Amino acid sequence: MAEVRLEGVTKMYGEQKVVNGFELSVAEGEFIVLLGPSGCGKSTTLRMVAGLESVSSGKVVIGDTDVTQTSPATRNVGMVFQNYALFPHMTAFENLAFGLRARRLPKAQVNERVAEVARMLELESVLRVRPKNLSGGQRQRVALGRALIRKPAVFLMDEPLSNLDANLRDRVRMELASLHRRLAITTLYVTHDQGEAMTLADRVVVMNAGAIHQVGTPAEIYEEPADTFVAHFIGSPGMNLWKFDINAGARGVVDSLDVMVDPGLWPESSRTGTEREIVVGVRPEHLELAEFVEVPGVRAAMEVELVERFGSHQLVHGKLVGVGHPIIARMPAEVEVEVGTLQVVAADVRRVHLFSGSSGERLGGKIAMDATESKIYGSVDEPWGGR
Amino acid sequence: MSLSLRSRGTNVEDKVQPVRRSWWRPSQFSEAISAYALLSPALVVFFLFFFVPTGFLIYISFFHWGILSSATQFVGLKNFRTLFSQPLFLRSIETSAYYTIVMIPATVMLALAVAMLLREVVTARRGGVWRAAVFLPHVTPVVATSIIWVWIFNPQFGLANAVLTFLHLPALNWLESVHWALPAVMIDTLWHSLGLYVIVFLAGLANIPRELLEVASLEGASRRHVFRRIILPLLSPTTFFVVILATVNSWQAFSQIYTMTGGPHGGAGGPAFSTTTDSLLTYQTAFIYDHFSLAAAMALILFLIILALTLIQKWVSNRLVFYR
Repeated sequence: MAEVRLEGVTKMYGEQKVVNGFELSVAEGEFIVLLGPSGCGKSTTLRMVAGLESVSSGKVVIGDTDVTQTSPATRNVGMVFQNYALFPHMTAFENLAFGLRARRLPKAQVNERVAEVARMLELESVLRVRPKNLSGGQRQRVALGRALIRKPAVFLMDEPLSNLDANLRDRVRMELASLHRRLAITTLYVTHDQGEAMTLADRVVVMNAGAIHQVGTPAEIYEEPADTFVAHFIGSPGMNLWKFDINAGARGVVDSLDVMVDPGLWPESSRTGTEREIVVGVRPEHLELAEFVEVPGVRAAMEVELVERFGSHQLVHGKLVGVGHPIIARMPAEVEVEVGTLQVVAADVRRVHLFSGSSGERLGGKIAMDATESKIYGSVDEPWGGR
Repeated sequence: MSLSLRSRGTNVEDKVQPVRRSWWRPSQFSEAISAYALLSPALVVFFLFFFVPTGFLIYISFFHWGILSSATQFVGLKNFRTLFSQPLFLRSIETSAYYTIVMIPATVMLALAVAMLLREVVTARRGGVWRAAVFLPHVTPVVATSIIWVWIFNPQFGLANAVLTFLHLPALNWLESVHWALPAVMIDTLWHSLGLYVIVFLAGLANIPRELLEVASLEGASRRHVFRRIILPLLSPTTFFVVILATVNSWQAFSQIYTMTGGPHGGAGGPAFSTTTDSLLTYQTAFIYDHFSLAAAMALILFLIILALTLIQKWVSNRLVFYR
């Protein structure tokens, strides 16, 4: 177990910067998930920690040692690859024993360690079987075992569940969580699946285009997304984001949604008149038909274009009346909504997020609402209760 | 309880028809005709230039047959008996076997070594240039390169002896020596054919997933360990292919021997028949000594030898080669 620090780590391929000034400190035993879309640099970052990619600038520190220039073998890290990377010509036993044999451990010790790991991962019955005759879950466990058998200080996993079918993925995900609880090895886990990130991580690092957008607990990432990218990327479907012009007036009234925002909340640029837009965000699961919302909230009229029924719930797709912005609402299955109808949806004001129209960054403070005027306000100083 | 499926008032069961699989249904028949029509140019060429000559060769190996005489006489196994009673034929088999036995390991080891070197040392930007440089000799005509090698092996002013002299080693008579003529041919052949095998090995190496080598480096495996435990086993299908190819090419080696040891003006296979391989003797028997039936029998024996070796290698490969 060791602490991991990435200090201003940058990776260039020619002129292209694929990871840009990555700063992260991972505590001993912490489970960190690097989450982002394909090509965002998360796997490259992981590979730089492993030593499989060189670092263009910055430092990788494991424990107290700067390992930036050292070989992968000396970093004491174990890694599980997306396709498991099992040696196809070796049995499960030989795969598990590979690292120990390469380091010339005595045979008795190799056998003992393999038996121990096989017992822990329930692989005892398949030790003499080659990978092609193993099931997906068994392959996955052999790959895990091979990475764990040397008792590495840091455990790296690069989308280890992506080759499994949906049911097996859920099961293995739970097994991974339980394994981490038992072993408490510092873990960096790469995925583009937010479900994995939210359920496994102590902290999630949301990345895009080689840069970190937000680092936080799964709850923080979900409840208080740092910007519009995180807001839209986290959640299935992602947050509804509507950009509006700010009308003249002290409070900065937003068209159509009947939303008002305290000018104190704006970045400097908006107050001087250069920024004229705001992004209002509401998660689909926080929108309900207005008739069911009892607390003060934001209301919007939508024209229903498509209803996707999933049995447990339904996704209602449509457009905001007047402005035409797309809107998705996740509603209980029993609510009857027909395509082509107009519906008024509403969300509890505490579930409404505001972002800068120019930078996409979250606007600080809480959002409040003037119940008497049915307007929404954002306030830096007054958390709730209106003005 | 029976369940009737209905859709818009029509019983679905009524509409389900068993699928007909008869190939002579009009659509499938015309498909088959089209397929054979498209294949026919290749099939005709293959039939005329492969099956007909092979069949004719087998046929005349059991006859007394001359290219200018219309008369043919069935002689049974006499041609084969004659061959096995001729010391020159037996020696040619021995020479071919010696040539093959040396060439196979030399080819495989050298080609693999060059491929590993190209893969590891050469940068991606210049990789194409180096690969082209290694492959270039293979696309140059054998006869042309063999003539150059004749100059290189010239005892008086050849480069080979210049190198030996530079290294303080005794000069050799090369193509004029009973002991060194065949090794000289082997060196030429190795140089000429290496590019092909290197490219095949490079393709095999490129097929080994990068992650496997990365796992090995993470697990602390030495380069030797990686080569022995990962690269060699995963490369075994490629190695097997190269061995088969090298075996066939070695047993059939002709042009370089013909050019380097005598050429059209006589004496090919010398000195003292030391470079007379089975395929060279077959040519000489047919076109110099005009014994077509004997030459056909020799070719048939050569074919059977190569077939037997290939089958043995296949049998061995089942135990040694790992297919993913």
